[in-house]
Amino acid sequence: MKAFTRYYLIVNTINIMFCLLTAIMGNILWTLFLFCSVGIVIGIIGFNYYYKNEYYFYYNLGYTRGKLARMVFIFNIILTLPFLLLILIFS
Amino acid sequence: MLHSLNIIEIVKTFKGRSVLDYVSFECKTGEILGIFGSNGSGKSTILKILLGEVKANSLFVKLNNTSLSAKDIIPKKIIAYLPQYTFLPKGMKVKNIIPLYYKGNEQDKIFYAKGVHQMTNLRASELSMGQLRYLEILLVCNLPHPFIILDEPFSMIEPLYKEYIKEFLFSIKNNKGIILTDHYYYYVLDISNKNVVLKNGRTYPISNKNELQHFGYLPNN
Repeated sequence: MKAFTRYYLIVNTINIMFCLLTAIMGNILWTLFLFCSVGIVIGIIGFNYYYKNEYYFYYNLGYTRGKLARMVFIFNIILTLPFLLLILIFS
Repeated sequence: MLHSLNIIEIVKTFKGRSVLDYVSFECKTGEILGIFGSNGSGKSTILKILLGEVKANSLFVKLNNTSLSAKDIIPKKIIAYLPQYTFLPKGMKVKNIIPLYYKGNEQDKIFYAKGVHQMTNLRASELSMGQLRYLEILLVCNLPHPFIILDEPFSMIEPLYKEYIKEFLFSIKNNKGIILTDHYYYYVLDISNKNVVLKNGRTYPISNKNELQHFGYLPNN
């Protein structure tokens, strides 16, 4: 799990930088949606570009590329749900 | 426990050109299998196919005589892999990398291994090529996977660490099946007990330098 945390943080650093662009425009719902979808794809592309060889680090721990990506999607959805609920409650 | 890994009839074509033509080999616990081949002969393709990075036209894998899907090799932790190029996070210190691979007391196997104590406070990017390769081999080979693939473990490293690596591979040989590929053929021949050479997409068993010359891997002089 410690190793996955590293992958998760790198992918989401790129993801958040991408999502900040929409956040600046003030659309929070759209930002949350991007954080759980296209932003992750952009983050993974960034990881492939800058850290491609590190995938072997994860293979040896039993993580395939697909499993890593699925876990990022799941964690981001879980992380986003409370924010989404708060927005729906107060809107 | 003794394990056997059978790789049966790998076929791979790239744009109609046959790269691997029914390549088969077997590795058992206690064996070090050396795979030789010129650049472009398909060695790396075999390794990438086994890790699911490249899709083969045909491939059968058997673990202990039971069929296994290539897709399961990583999730079921069958083969640990040392790639040709470094895979450790460059900006991290060695003492922080080791806990990513091993928990609790298991870390001692690495921290107290020969030559590691002088690296622990260094970042991966600050290690010499030999130190880095040796550390990677320790990390990969101490994992519980029954088989290990080492892609060029002896390349570009200083003699001291080549000896450390040889010594370490001998020490774990009885509990693992090791598949090794390296152009430093004399180091491979020195530690392997079974060898094959890849030529024109096929494997041929060899046992010494003369046979490597016969198959055109080494010059005839």
